[in-house]
Amino acid sequence: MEKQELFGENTRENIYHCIKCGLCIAHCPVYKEVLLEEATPRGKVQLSRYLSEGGLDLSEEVKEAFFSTCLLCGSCVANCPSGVHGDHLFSGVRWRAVQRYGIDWKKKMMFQLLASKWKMSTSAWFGKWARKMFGGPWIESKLNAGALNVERIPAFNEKPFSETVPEVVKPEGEARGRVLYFHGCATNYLYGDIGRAVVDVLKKMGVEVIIPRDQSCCGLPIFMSGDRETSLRCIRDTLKLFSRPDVDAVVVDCATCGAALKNEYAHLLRDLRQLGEEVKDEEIQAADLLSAKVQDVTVFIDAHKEWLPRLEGNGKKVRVTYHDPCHLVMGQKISAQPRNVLKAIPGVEYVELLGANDCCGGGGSFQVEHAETSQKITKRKVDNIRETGAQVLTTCCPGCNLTISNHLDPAIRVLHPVQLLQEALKR
Amino acid sequence: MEKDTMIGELVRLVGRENVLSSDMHFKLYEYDASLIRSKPDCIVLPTSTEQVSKVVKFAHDHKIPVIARGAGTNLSGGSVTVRGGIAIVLTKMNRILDMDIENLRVVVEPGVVTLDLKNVLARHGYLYQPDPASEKVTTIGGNFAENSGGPHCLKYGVTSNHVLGVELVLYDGQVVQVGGKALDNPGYDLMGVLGGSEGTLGIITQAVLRIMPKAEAVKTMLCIYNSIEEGGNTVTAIIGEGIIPATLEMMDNLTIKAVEEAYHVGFPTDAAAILIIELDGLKDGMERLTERILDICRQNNVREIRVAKDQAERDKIWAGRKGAFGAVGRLRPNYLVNDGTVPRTRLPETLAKVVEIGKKYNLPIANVFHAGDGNLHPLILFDERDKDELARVHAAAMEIMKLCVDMGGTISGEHGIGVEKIEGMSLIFSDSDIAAMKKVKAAFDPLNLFNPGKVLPETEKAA
Repeated sequence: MEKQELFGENTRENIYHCIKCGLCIAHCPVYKEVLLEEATPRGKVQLSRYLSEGGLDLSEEVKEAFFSTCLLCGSCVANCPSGVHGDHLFSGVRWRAVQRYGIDWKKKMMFQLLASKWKMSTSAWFGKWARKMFGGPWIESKLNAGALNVERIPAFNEKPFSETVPEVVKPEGEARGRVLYFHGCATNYLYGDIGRAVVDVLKKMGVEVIIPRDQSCCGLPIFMSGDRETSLRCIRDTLKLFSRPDVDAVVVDCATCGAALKNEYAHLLRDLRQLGEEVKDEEIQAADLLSAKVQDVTVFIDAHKEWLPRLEGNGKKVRVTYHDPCHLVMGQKISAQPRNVLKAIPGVEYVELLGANDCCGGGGSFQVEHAETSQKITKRKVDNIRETGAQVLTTCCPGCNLTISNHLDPAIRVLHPVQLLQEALKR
Repeated sequence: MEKDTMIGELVRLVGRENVLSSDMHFKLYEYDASLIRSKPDCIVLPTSTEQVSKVVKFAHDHKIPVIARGAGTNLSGGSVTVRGGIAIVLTKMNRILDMDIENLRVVVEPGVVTLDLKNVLARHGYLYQPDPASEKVTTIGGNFAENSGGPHCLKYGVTSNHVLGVELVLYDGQVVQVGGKALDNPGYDLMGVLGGSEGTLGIITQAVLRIMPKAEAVKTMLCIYNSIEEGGNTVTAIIGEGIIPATLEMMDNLTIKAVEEAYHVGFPTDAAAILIIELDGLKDGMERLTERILDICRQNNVREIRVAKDQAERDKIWAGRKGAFGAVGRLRPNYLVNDGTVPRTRLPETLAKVVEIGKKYNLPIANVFHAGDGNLHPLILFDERDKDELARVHAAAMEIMKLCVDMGGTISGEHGIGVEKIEGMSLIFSDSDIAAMKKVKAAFDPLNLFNPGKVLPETEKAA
């Protein structure tokens, strides 16, 4: 059922603070390819205004504009001089659209699985089942995987990452700190190596790492797709496990999860409360506490770099560059720390990437559903990476990793910065 | 003509994929960055001169208004279809056609984004000088139509000084060449008529631009003042000494605070005014010139001077200046900006009166201006949902225009007249002045179909 108001009060005010200056347009990766006003953040803010005031019907066409010409990358928010939160408006419209038009069943099922912590994932047959399910009927043809080449999507982890590590990992040597590790779905199911690198590096820094086994999806991909009810379950579960005052930080290895935990939870809970959802004060306090504790793992490592064991080179030089994930550079304003980590590794010859903070074009399911636009954006990224002559591209987001590695020459490795650090520590 | 028939015809002329005609699209192309809104009857996105010509001819044959549109960042309502009709959006015509670097010329289509062009030129060590604050979004076509300015126009002139020729679509669809690559072209100087004509005389489909080699050295200084008068006196004194810096930009306290909140560029939020002075040119003599300017600042009680040490620091200062308009959007939901110009010697006096006008109408006014040009930008802040406030805003805006004229200046320096300042035209022109301009308009556009309702007001004699 559609609730009366489209936006909570705080969110709604954004529509009146857009002065239509259009400066956001320069930063929108989708507009550059589409060149239509509906692709501009400004245009979607104006549509949001009409929708909110009742002057425009949420037609299929309007729905399409909000889903197919926006990656929810947050570039417009980061660059809006008036501080307009377009992302909050756009995900609000998507929510309403889903209430009206429903959600694709495959997506819905995926979200339910993510939100229920993939209970079945703990069984041994999970890996095989998932590969069959999502590698088979769902993505059996290139058409269905959109911009992604199915053959180059990494295989699911044989076992979910969380099953391969103890819940508490004790530090090596002197104990210096204690963190909770939110590893997100991508690490859990696709990129177990990243998870092991995070744990390995932190352990060697003298940090105790707690990895709550029951953690679920952060909820961001789910509420970005408009399924707020399901995402609310994720938020509540995550708050229960991760909003703890007795740790130094909650580290994340995924820019998107980090942005969700840091920025979106408190906002969304407040918004939902204004829209009549029952949200307790304690939940909002918990979200604020979590927000204060969340750190990208590279931020934590850079802040405590003196804890790292001596790094040894192996005489070989490796040319490395770095791609800024939108949800890290725009969403969390983090750009220096991952680079610092890379530059501290002996043997790394760091080269800057032209347009390093331009979106990779992935946007989660965007690349599957809106392949043409996505591919054009990714092409710019891949061309720029080639230009650097780097042997390794690093990035702090498994989502970007998936997109970029799918289109990049196989000879160029795509890694999380922490993986390179782990390699150096093994020497 | 029936709307559906019109749309069908347009589809035939430019293709289905280049015609937009849904309720959503009417709402998306009904605005620019001003307060004016009005829906077009159809939107077309041509991809060639030929298509533009066909659409214009079609519109003329059926007496339908046409209006050219770029990024829609206009500040005076110039790109809003106040009488409906066809919005011709030129964003898809965005190719750089000719890079004649050695002859210091480039030829571009109108939809090229100003900063994109500059980035391409920068790789060759060259520069296109005009730098409107919206350059990262605006198009060359829009810049020419509005004759956009920008901080560096103090030294280098406005857009029309850098557009030497155009390809123009006339009312009947004919395509003609005006001007060219040479500095002085034989025959009538129609470029002078077309620059800043706000799409009321024709639609340009190509532009020949003048480019320049990048300056060998640049020096950017941020000068902080405890009073606006002292900042203003500095400007007068620098130019009085015969020095023309590349820029002389000023911001008042309200703007400084908003910019600092938005960009964290390190502007002191307790300063009454800051002045951004940039020098460019040869390395030789740059230091000496800088010292002379700093001396003048000191004589005028500057509180602090910060010289940018590198490109990053320069970029930061300019990001603050170029985002200033948007940043004041944080203070109140809306603003109306005037761009009246006064003789620079009368700047401090004018500003004091602007403050009085703000008080009189009980409206906050933030000021940011091209001080070197005497070009004001008072931003009147309000909330358009408050109808009483909105009425006061329009009254205050009119009074500021009148003030500029009384000071010996004019009503607009660079944003165009559009709709918002159309009433101000009679403050500077007599009825017969306007009637003379109308004759020019009639020569180019006998049926008054190119962007009707803009620039020239209805006058009794001229009507």
